[in-house]
Amino acid sequence: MYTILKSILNNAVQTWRMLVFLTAAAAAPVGVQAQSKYIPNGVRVGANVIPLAATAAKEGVEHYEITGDIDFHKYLFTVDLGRAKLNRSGDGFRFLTSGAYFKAGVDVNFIENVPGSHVLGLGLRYAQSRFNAEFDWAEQSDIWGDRIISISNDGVVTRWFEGLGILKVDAWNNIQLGFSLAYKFAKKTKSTKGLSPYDIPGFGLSEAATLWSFNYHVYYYIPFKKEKQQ
Amino acid sequence: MIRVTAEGASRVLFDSLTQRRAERMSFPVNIYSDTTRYAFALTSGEEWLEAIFERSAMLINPECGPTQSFSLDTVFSSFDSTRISNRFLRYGSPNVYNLEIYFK
Repeated sequence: MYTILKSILNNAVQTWRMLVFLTAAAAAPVGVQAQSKYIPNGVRVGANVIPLAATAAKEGVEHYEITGDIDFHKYLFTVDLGRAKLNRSGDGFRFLTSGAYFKAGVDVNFIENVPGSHVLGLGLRYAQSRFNAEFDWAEQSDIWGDRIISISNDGVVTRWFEGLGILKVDAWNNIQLGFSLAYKFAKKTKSTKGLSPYDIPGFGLSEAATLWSFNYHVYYYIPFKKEKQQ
Repeated sequence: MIRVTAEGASRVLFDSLTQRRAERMSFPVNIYSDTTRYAFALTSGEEWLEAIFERSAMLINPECGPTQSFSLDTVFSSFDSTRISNRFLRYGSPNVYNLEIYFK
């Protein structure tokens, strides 16, 4: 913890130094130093463990999410891709939601100067989920008789944004562990005529306007510098 | 006398001895269809009314199960005229009128 705080402080000081340097240099050629800073050091690919655990533990849940990011100085361009099939069933009904989603955005790493490829930062994502919903239930009526009602809704699209707090740490060799806390907001759903969605893949319960979620990732870090040295 | 039946219904939906007593009528919509066609047997003759709804289903939650909501979209009829006064059908709200029917 002390090391991380010290690194954040060092980083802030270095950023300040860089600003002073840029101001002092004015029109001087600073291109070489600045350009090298934005060359990526590596990519990180991984999987979100929470959906995998839900798939293993909960009946009717199939949810997978992979993720990847690439760094440009302190900025990490991140993409998450997910697929989910969620089956809610109960007394005389079945609600099936299946679809895919993506989340894309940028994270800012406040400790990019710390040795290793640790990340402590904040991020913002744009997310979009496209899914199909199928709802079957048994209806009973003494006037209209007893029947099974089936309603489906294909191609429902929901978009939202996520603000994140992120921590990614080296665990062993190139294996990294990541933790993030996401606040999902500004949700908007299209094409719900006839059937309101219950689950939104990648978001959660449809009835919620905003949601908090915790994510736990396992990554494999592929450094570019190592490849160049070989 | 007024007697209301509907296509697909297993019983008479409304039966009254006089029109005066039939100032307010309530009868169910077909939960399996977007359209319910009613037949009115009146003292003056027979009339019909076709109500077209926007139907929407949702799962309240896995414990409570499903529900449907109906919104009155269009009405065709052989009556002199009709007027939709409230599109949304709310179960158990006797003071809310959905439709006004005007006789000749």
